[in-house]
Amino acid sequence: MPTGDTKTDLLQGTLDLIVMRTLETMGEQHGFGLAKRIGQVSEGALDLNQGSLYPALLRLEQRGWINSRWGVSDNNRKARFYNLTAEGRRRMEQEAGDWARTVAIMERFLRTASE
Amino acid sequence: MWKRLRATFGKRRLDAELDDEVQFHLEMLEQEHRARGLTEEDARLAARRDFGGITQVKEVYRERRGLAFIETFAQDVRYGARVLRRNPAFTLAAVLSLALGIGANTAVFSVFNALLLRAVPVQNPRELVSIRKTGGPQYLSNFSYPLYKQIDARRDLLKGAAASTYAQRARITTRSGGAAGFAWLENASANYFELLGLRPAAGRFFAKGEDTPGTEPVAVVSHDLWRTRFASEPGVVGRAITIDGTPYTVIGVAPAGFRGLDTVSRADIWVPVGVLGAERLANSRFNWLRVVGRRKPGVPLETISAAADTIYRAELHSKGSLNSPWRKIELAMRAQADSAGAGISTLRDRFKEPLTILLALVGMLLMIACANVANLMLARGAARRREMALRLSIGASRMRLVRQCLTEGFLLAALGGVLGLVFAIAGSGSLVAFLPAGDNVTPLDVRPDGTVLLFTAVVSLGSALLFALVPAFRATRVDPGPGLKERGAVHGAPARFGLGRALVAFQVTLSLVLLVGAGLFVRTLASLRTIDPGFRQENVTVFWLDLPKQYKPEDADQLQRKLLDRLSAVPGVLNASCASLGPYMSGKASSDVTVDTPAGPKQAYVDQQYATPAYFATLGIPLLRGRVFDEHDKNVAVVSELFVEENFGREDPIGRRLSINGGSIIVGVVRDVLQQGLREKPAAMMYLPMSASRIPRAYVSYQVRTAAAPDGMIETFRRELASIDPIVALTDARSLAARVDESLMRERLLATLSGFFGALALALAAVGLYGVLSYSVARRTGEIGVRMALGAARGTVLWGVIRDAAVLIGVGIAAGLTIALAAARVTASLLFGIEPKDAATYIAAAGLLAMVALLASWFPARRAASISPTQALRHE
Repeated sequence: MPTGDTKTDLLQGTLDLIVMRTLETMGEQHGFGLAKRIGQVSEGALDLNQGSLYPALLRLEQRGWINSRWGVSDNNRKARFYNLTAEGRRRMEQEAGDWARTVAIMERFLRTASE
Repeated sequence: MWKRLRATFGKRRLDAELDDEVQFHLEMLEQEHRARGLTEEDARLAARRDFGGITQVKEVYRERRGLAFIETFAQDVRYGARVLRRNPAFTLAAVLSLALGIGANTAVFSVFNALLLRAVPVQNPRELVSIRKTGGPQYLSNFSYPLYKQIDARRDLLKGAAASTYAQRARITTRSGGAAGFAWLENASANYFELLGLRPAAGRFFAKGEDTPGTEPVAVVSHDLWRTRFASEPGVVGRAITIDGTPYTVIGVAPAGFRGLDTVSRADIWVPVGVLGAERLANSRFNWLRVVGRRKPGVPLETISAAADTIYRAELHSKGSLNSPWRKIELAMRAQADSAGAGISTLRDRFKEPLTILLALVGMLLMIACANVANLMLARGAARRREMALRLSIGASRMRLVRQCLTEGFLLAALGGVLGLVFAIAGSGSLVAFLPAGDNVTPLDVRPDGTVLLFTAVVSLGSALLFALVPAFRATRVDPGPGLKERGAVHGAPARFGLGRALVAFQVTLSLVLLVGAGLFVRTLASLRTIDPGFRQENVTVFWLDLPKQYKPEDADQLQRKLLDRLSAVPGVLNASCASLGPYMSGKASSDVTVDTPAGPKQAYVDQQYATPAYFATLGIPLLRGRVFDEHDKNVAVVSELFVEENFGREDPIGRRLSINGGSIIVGVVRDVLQQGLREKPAAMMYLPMSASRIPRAYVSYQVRTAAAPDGMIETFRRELASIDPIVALTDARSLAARVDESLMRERLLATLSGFFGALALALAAVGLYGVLSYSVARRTGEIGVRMALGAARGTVLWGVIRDAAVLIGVGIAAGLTIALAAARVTASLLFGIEPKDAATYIAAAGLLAMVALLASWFPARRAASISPTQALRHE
């Protein structure tokens, strides 16, 4: 029975990057806001179960790349807000760079294959 | 990491927080959907769809959050405990089986540990070696002082060597005019304590050179003696103490817990070797010192043995003639170094092999118990298929389920281990009863120490893995679909239960090995017990006297006469005598003697013993020819059968002359006596009148034969002795029967324990067989019902089940016989009167096992035969 694991496996590394980037752009955000924003940016292409954000957020927090605090949302509800740490920012830049390089290499191969 | 640790313990709060967060998220989603126009119901459903599986997310979150392992383990333990509680019969059966197996192992190991492994409380016990001579009688196994010094000089192999004696009784007074007491005294070289790396609890130890004859006599007392005789006063250093009439100065106290190097005896006082005088020290024929050394790193025991042997032989060859029989014995001996980290012990030599064999036997018993529990778990695993299927279907991973089952197994093992420890503590006390008693034998301390507890834990864990691992995997190999659909009895292919059958066959195999072992050892003991030692041991008490050093020989003579008269007059006493030696009274004396045979004078080297005339009657040694000597005979001798055979053949020895004692006439012939133990061969013996001997009366032993059991009589003897001279004490009084029994300690230990284990194994195997067959019958109820409905007779069904069992039993016995034959060879040196491959024992063991096993299979077979077909089919 699919546990949602297979989908998340693929996205795990990239999900981290997406979350951190979104936090950088949006600033402090709660889980729902993040999910919504990710859905918007990807224009619905990323069909992920919104709940799977939370384990990812936990992982990032355990590594110290983001931290969280309890606060009040726009509509006066108690919610937990996340933001990027300095360490997280550094890691994100590093990972973004790695990602770009990977993409570039893959493009070269794919271009040459089709030529 | 820290967050994870905190998460494990702040679980509830964090769970609540997660719930809040998720709740918020869901509400926001709901709101959005409602804003788009969905109804409340639909909005909620849509929100949940967007979010994904809530429970799963929470699970994954939680797993990642805490130290998952500890959390799930705690969960497993709680669940497992519940499961075990709900199945009391199963739990009880399993825990009891395990407790018996683990307990037996722990009990035997405690003794093994106390005797062979526990280190003496000295520094670096691993470096210690004891050097002695082997291959000859015990009393020749020590070294003389000059030889000891030569060994000590080998500083290339040893860091140093020290010498000490066996602990001997000494009379001490701690206050002038105060009451005398007894203590165990050892003489030691000046470097004894230093070599052992001990620090005095008070005062100091011997200084270098303090063991030279002529120096001030000093003494070191043990911690215990300090407590009992000096009330632990700090002022003990410098106090005077009288030992056997000589004043000494106490210079120090040994550390607490040190009682000498002997595993079993204890020492209370140490004095330097020099107090015995220069003559004793210089005498190279006096073998009185036990040598212990510290080996240098990297020096193997063989090298030290060889070096000591060279020294020994050099000394032998530098002395006079090599032809006297004494010499022959000495030449046959060789020096040997052994590890002495666990102390020096003669007990160890005698018990090492039996204990090792017992450990092997008891290990097999544990495996049988584990097989039983494994079978129990397999059966239960089959019954829990629905539960497993359900849990797998809601997303549990297989490994998780396996872990769960394993945890249950560990719980069982833990319970079994604790209960087993209790059994062991109770049981090892009685085990120690097999070991020798005596004046200076401290009962072995078999209380569990760290090593024993560790052993128990390891054994429990190991057992758990053995019996739980495979059943855990089996139980979880369930296809969720079909698993859920099943109702009622489980239909597995018979092959699935192949493991259970194999386990039972395995149990039968091991049980047979145990039974064969038990048979061999029990028969050995029986053979030994039927040997006629040449004397009658019932109702005979043997004791020695402790004479103060000042006793003059004439006074000692008088004392002996008076005592014997008094003792003979005590009501209930049949005979009283004394002798220089005697059966089980340790020691041996021999002399060169010229025998005046019909064929001319013959040289012989014969064992000799001095005794009073009543000796033969007291010990019940039958007179075969002639007469025994009486009070007034001086130059007469009584000889044994073997003596006559060796020197006179068929001729009559009566009236012939022996050169001993300035000429003695043989007046009688008595039966041979086994002096040194039941396994020995008798030796030619001549008995001489006590009145003609010049042996110091301190060394003679007394024998008293009473009409009834002598238990209360020892006090009476003491009183009689005290009424003659109150300062003489009676020591080491025990019945002759007890001493004979003691010489059979090993055999008794082996016979009793192996018999007990064999019986246990038999019971466990029978239970295992019964269980497996019952289960198989229950499983196949439907099938049997069908067969009977189609016309199979009850007899056929019964026979079918029995045949099934017989195959298992047969395979088990065949394998068992093979293993037993191979293993029994190891025990050859311990057996007596029976071969390791004695056919009768094997056949009897196999027969007994087959009978019991078939009996055990009778009940399930009968149940199978009495299945009513209609009921069985309805049961489907």
